[in-house]
Amino acid sequence: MAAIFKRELKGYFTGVIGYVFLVLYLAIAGVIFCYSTLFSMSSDVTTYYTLMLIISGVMLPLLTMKSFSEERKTKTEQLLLTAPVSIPAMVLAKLLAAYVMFAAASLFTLAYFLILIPYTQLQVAVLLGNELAHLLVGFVFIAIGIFVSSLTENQLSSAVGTIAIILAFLGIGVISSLLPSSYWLRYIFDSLSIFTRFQAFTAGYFDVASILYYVSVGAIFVWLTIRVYDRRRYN
Amino acid sequence: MNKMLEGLKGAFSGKGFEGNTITALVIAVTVVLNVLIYTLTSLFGWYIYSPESADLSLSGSTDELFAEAIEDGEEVTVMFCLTEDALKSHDTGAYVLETARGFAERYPDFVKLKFVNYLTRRDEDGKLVDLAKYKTDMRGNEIAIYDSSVIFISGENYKVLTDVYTAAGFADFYTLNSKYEVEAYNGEEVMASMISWVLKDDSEHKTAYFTENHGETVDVAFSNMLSCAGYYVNVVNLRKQPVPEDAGLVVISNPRNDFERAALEGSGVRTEIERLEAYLAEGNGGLGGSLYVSLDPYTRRLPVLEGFLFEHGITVEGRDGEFGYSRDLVKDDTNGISLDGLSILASYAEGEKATLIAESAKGANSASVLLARTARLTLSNGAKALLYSSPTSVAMNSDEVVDSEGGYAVVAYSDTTYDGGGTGRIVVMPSVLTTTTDTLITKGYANKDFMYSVFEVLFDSLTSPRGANVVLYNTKMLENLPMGMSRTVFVCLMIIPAALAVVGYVTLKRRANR
Repeated sequence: MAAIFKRELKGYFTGVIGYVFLVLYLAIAGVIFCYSTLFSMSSDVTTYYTLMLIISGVMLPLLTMKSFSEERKTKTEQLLLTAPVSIPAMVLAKLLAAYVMFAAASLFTLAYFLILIPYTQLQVAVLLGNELAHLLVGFVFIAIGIFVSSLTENQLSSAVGTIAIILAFLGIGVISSLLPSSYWLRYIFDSLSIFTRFQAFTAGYFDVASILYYVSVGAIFVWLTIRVYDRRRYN
Repeated sequence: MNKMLEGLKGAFSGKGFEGNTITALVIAVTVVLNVLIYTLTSLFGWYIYSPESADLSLSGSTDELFAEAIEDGEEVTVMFCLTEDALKSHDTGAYVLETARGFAERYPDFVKLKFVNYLTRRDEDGKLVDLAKYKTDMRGNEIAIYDSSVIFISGENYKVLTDVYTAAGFADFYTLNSKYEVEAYNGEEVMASMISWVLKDDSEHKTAYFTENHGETVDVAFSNMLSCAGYYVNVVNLRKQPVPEDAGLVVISNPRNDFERAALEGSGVRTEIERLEAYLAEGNGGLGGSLYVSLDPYTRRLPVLEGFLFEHGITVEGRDGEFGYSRDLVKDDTNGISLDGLSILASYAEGEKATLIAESAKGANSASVLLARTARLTLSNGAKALLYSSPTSVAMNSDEVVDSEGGYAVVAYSDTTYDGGGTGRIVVMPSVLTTTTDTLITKGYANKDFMYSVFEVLFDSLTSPRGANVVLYNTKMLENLPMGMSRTVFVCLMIIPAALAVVGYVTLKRRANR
């Protein structure tokens, strides 16, 4: 597993994807940070993290789009399937490599908020709650990306498919607000919406149920990816 | 696409127990469990609310206010119209109770607490309390007493705080914004002021009159500050009546419409300006009246009022342009603290009164005074500045720089001595946002302490409660951050990805060449 993880992580920097992701992520995060705090004279972290949630939804497929697609396209998938490593370990190694890239970028930008300390009474607990939620949502997005990548050998299809599923998860909350008067349906939609769950953290609530939600949704997509490869190895 | 769908089928198929049934079951169970846990969390509150809890400890800054009264063995009773248990569980009253307890513990022989059941009229010892006597203030005006009223009593003096703004109760101890939303809890300051209030004889308390009928806007926080400074607060319509005799201060707060022009000669009618002039000459028992004028630089010109200020040596600068008269705005792109450069930090002026004000304000808060969207003043006839903008500021009018000398007077006062011996005093602040809730509740700027010092030094206010702890409900404002610094940070943050892009390019290029 460690070998695959290292190979994947190194792979990001032998090609352009790792650099493109980090450069774009840090640049966009920097702009959003400056405009939502410094230029608005506000230490409110909510705007930053809400916008970064959407940005992550669009950018994380960059990291995952070639995870399995590339292996299939270059016919190295057979090597992986016959390697002395279990399928769950293989999937987790690829997921972990993408997640390390994302988490490193996200934690690096967390340091931006240190700039605000001399100018405000920063609510550290709220900030860390938002960061935790962002890291958890990132896990879900990457798990979705890895799953979609396992279904196709076309990287573009993988990225577009991932963004579509992520937007669907984000959009559940919007759909619920459009539902006419069905309280229960709206309630169920809300409870399954990534965005509604995220809002609890932005309001300063450290919500255990939402943590379980993110972990379970991410785990389902990891499970589905494992099932896809289980079948492929069996065939 | 077909291959993608084929792959998707793989997730739901397999052999026996590992097949599509178990996959579908796992997803269904996860969905149901999530909805269930979401519901249980809402019902039983399985979450941690992370914002830090409020620090209600006393600052000790009130010791000086009470030193003399404590030495004289005086006693003040803070009477609540709720039982102690009911207060503990009251949304807004619990904080007030804790502050009152803090005072009672800090000054055990001076401050006593009393709890009366509003319905039964009995105190904690079961004795009947006559609440009816507090239904009129010491000047005979009617006051409504509710269960959220707090009565401060010292001997025959009393003062009732009754919430007339909100349904929540105890609003006087909180700072509300213009939408009546709670911005801060300043119980220590209010309680200290009210304790001080009842230590003085009622006749010592003057009234601050806000003028009306000119589209004036008044921030609740500013009005409450005047109460804390020992003023009764009321309104006066100068078209109908002269300034009342008990006026200690007249406030013209951001008028949108001008004052009356001169009346026809010989008509016997006194104009508003004449009434103001008469008050300045004869107010405060012949010593001379006090007038505070704040102006919104974005409103249309007020020739009569501004002409009156000009006669007293204070000119609000502006010019006639294509779209009518507009005032010069002070802008500072280097040291300003907003992106548009119109929020500036002012420095204290020199001079006898200005120095006294500076020392008094700095004693409580060494921060600067924040002025936002302010006009510039030019002074003559002995009028003096209280605050200046920085040397890097410029004067703008209709997006053009009309003056770049910097160091403009942005708050000023003038004294006028009249034939009768009285000295009328006018303070002019051509900025609306200087006394708004945001700037008054924070300790990051010294606006509140500056205003209290102005009341104390120029208007001889009775009380000047400074340095009290404030619990902020919205602590999201960045303070004292110059825009120059923000721009530097922005450039630094953009250098990081740019450097990474260069490193990536060089690395990949070398690898390709190999």
